[in-house]
Amino acid sequence: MLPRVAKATVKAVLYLIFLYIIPTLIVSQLSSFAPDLFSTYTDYLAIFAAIVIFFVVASELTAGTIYQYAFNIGRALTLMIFFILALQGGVISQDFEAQGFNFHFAIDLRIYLAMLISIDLLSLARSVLQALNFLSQQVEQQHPTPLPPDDF
Amino acid sequence: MKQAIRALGWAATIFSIFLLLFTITSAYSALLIAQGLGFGEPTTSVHGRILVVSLPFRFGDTGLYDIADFNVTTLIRDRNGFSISESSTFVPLIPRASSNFTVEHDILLDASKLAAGNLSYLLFNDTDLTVDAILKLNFARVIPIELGTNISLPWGAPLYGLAVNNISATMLGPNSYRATVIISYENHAFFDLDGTVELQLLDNAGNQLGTGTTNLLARGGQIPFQINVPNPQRIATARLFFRTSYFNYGPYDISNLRIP
Repeated sequence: MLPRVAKATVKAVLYLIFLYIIPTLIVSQLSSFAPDLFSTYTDYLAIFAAIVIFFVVASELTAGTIYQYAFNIGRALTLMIFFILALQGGVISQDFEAQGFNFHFAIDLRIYLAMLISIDLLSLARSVLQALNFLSQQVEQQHPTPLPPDDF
Repeated sequence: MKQAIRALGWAATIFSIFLLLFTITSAYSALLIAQGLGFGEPTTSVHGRILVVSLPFRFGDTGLYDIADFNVTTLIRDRNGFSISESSTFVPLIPRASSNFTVEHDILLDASKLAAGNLSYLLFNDTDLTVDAILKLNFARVIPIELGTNISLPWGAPLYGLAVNNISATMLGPNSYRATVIISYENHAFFDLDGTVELQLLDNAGNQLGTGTTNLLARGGQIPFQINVPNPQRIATARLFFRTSYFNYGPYDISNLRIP
């Protein structure tokens, strides 16, 4: 159990650095350009990092059981829903003020969102197959295929 | 099944790396564009009756991706929402890694339109116009972006405060008088006026008593007319017709005139 906890902790720290700390620094740089536009996305980054870290740690702690794959499936589904909500269905529209002028900004990220969902669908398919494979291996271990008789 | 799992794993990894690279490079390019984008000094010119305000957009660096379908649209409206001008500039492609790429957006203002119908008050009254500006582009050919703003633009009337300042008459002979009429205005517009103004003096019944034409003053002032009339006491209305290189306008009546 201890190696699993250590591995989960290391993974959690790495994910925290790459999914939260570095992106937050980048977004805070962008915020100086249009604070109203990017401030919302700091919250989304925190939620994204929390989702990924939770599922990665849970998956690591339950490694070698069917729950590991269940958590992987859960992560893929949760991230798909999260991306759709965070990117407002692919079309982000916002009003903000910069240099004394009011601006209306709209960005169409539907193709980008489709790519994100495609990756999650691939992960989902992989996790489902892994779960099936795990279950079939367990069944094989519990009920081994009888060997053919010697005189066969 | 293991091969399928491995294939899906590889596909997800490769796709993720590709998307991560695209995200980083496009964010970096967007920063470069935002830092390098600037507006040059607007210039004005006149083509026939069309006043042209040219607004240059300068791209210091377009980053790692093409900008396609670059489109700038400006719509100028008056305070009542009537459209004065709609101008659009389209550039199909701004290639990647371009430095000092300039796109010139021309805002066309047809001055003759100002003298027509609902907008003629703009010739005599200063006001604020609303400019709606919409910028559209397709970043990296996969991310359409739209940025819009509306700003208030002060409008200076070319014939601001148009009035008959002074009217007097001197007798030349029996039934012959010389009326001196001084009209005044201020040109608050950004363009100089040239052309002529015709003054008709009318009686109460609308009959013409006399007429005179003189040149307009570029930036406004007082313009004296000396017009022979049979009886100055009958003068009731001054009717003005403006003929300039930008617009023709008239009749413009100034009523209730009295010789002191």
